[in-house]
Amino acid sequence: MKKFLLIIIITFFFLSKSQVFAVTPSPTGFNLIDKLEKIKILKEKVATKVSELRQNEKSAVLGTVLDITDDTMNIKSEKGTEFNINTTEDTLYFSFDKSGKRLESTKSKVTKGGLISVFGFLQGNTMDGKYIYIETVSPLHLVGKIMDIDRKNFTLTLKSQSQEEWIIDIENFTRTNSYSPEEKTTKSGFSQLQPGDLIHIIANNNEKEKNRAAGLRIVKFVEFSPSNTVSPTPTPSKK
Amino acid sequence: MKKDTIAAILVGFIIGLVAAFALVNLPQLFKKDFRLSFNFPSFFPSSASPIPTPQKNSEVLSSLEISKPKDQSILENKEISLEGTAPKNSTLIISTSQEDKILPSDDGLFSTELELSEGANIISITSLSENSIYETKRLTLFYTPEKF
Repeated sequence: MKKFLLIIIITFFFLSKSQVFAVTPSPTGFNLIDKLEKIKILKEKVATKVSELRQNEKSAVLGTVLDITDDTMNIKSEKGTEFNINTTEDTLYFSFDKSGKRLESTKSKVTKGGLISVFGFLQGNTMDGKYIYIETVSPLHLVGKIMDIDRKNFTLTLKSQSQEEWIIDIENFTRTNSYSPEEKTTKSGFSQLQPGDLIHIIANNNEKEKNRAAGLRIVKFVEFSPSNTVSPTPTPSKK
Repeated sequence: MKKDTIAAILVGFIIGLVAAFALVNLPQLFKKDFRLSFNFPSFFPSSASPIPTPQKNSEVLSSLEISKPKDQSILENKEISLEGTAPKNSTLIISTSQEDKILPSDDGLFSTELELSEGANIISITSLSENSIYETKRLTLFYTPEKF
């Protein structure tokens, strides 16, 4: 019977998760320096932990400004999510000049309906804004086939991926290139575009007219275009 | 009679012990993998492994995927490397607000360097294949030289 009891005790000893609590002799004379040292270590640990948590919350959002108050902003992202941005006097604002150079700015330059990107610490849908960039509206990216070309008015009609029809104005600043695997990128022009050509366009949206935009950069893909027109004297574009 | 009682108590104690052990450890086992599986050491021949082998380059995916960087990520460097997979023998056009980069993707893999602007950067990546099949993915990447 004693043997049986011993086996059970040993089994219990091995099966149970042993937690060993080290018994350290309690110091008899804690002095002030020791306590201060311990407080210092604890402070460092807390600061490290806070920093780690902050790092996890570090985030950025791009959105349209819906509302502005003294210390908050409400923005809506492209995906439709609303974010509350807390601003303080430490929040820094930046904008860009025409060449894209960064300029220092102020909160007063942020307008309702404008586009901003905010860098800060996100918790749920609330962000403590640290840096706010006043953004310019992003150009459109369109891919599709040319349906029609109006050579008199310098426009072309494009049927995009989403089957939408777009009128693209060809302006003085519109740069047109063509691409083929053999020739790579070569300079091209409006006159070399044909209906049926597959093109990629970066354009500025026309706010006054729906589905109309001013072309900034056009690339015609020769290999996917029936006209297969390549410039007779191709000059490599400088990139 | 006394012996029987003690034996019964001990048996009950063992059953209780096993139950307690199971209660403490089973949730952890289930957390690791719901199926009760064992990872056998590598002396088993690899062909016997039930784990699917990674795809070779020649078998790479048919659709456009961006593997690096992730959408909505904050980048610390202005110069970044964009990597992903695309349909084989497709042509890719990668556009930022500043430039267009065109590159062929013969083996279904692509990689290119891009320079980001401060703030938000919207990058569109379009793959064009034969029969005018094209697919576009958009990435929003953030860059600031400021530390926070």
